[in-house]
Amino acid sequence: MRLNGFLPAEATSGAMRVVLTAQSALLVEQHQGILSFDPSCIRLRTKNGYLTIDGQNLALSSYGAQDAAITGQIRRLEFTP
Amino acid sequence: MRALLQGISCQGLGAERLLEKLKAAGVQLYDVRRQDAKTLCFYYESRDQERVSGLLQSLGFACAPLPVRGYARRLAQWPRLVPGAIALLTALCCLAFSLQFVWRIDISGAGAYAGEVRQYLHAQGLRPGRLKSAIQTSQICDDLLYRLPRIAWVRARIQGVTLRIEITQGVPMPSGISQTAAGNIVAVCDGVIAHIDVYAGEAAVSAGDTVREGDVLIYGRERGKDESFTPVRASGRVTARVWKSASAVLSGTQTQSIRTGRSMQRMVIACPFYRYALQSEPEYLIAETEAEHLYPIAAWLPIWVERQTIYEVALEENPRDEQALQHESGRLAMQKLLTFCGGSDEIIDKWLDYSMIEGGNIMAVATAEMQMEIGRFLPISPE
Repeated sequence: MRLNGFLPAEATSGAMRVVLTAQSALLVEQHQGILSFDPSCIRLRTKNGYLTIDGQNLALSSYGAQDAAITGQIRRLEFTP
Repeated sequence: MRALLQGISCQGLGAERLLEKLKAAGVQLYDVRRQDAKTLCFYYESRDQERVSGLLQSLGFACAPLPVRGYARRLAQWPRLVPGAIALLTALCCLAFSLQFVWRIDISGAGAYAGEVRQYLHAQGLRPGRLKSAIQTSQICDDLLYRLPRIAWVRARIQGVTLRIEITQGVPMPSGISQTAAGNIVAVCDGVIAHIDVYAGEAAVSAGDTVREGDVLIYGRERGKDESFTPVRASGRVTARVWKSASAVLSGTQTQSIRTGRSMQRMVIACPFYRYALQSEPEYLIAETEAEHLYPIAAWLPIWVERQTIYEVALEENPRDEQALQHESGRLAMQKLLTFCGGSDEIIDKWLDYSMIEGGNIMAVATAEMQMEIGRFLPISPE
C-alpha cells in the first residue's frame, strides 16, 4: 500500500513487517531488538509494541540490525502493544 | 555465495543483551540457537571477528569455537586432503616413470640357442631395468641373425614393459639328395612306357618301349651347341603300364569225420574248475563227444551232472566242389591284389587265372594292369 506515492509505508514509517512462510519460517523486518530468546519462545521489540513467537526448536537463522529470520515450528504469533 | 563463517559457542548470562550488542555493532549473525539458559551458539562472518571477540570479552562470556561453515569448511578440509593428493600424484608419477623401463625379457622359439641369446643380451647390457629408449630392437635382430646362422627368423619388440624376442629356427634340408647334383631318372619297376615328359635332361626311352627295373628313362645331361654334354639333374614325368599280381592257394579236398557206429555213454560230475568222470574214456583213435547237461546237484552249488556220448569217427578226405573252390580262391587273390595296389583308381584292367598245383591244391592268380609313374631320381656318383 503506497501512502506517499512512490515508497512503501514500512520504508518511511519504520513499521515492523512480518512474513510467515508455512509455519516454519518467519521474517521480521525493522525490529528493534530481542528481548528474550529460547527454543520455545522468542520475544522481539518493535516500534509499536512487542512481538512474541511461540513454538518449538526455534532458532534465529539470521539476526542483524534490520531483520531477524526465525526458523522452527512456529505455533503462535502474538503482538502486544 | 556464503561468506566465510565462523562459529562460536558462548556461555554466560544475558544472551539477549549480547545479541543486542552485536546487532548494535552491525554484526550479522547466522543460525543463532539457544542450547540452554546460559549457552548461545551462533555464526558470524570472519570479518567481524574483532568486534565479536571484543564484545564477548567485555561482557564476560566464555567462548568455544564451532566448526566453520561455508567455503571455509572446505578450506579447512584441505589440510587433510593435501597429503593424500600429494601421495596419489607421487604414485602416478612413479608409475609413469617405471613404464619407461623394460622389466621383463621373454625369449621364445630359441630352443637350444636360448643360452646363446641370453649371453648376447647380457653382453649388450640388456637386462631388466633398462631404459626402453636405449634398446635398439633392429640391432638385436641383426646381431642375432649374424651370430646364429641356423636361425631363420628373428623378431624383437618391446611390448609394454616386456622385451620379446621371437626366434624361428631354420629347418635343415633332407640329407642324401642334393638339389643341384646331376643324376638320371630310372625305372622303379618293369613296364611299357605310355607317356614321357622331359623337363631337364635327355630322354632315353619313348612311348611303347619296354623297360626293366633300373633302366635309365631320362639321362641327366644336356647337349650344348658344341656337341658337348653338360651334366644336369634330370627331371621329368614318365608314365608306364605296369602289371601287378597276387595269388591265393586253397586245398582241393576237405577233411570230414565219419562216424563208425561205435559209441559209449558216461556220466561226469562237473564244476567250474574240475570234472570227474564216473567211467573211463573209450580207446577210440579219433572220437567226437556230445555232452548233455543234466540237473544240478543243488541249486545253490555250482555242481552239475553231464551225460557224455562219445562216438568213434574216421577221417576222410573228400574233394571239394570245384566251382566253389575257384570262387573262394579267386576272391582271396583279388582281395590281396587290391590291398597290394592301394586304391583302385590306377587299375585299368584285372583278371584271374586258376591252376591246379601239387597236392591237389588250387591256386588263383589275380593280375591287374595299372598306369603309373615309374621314374625315380638316381644321382650320378662322382668318378
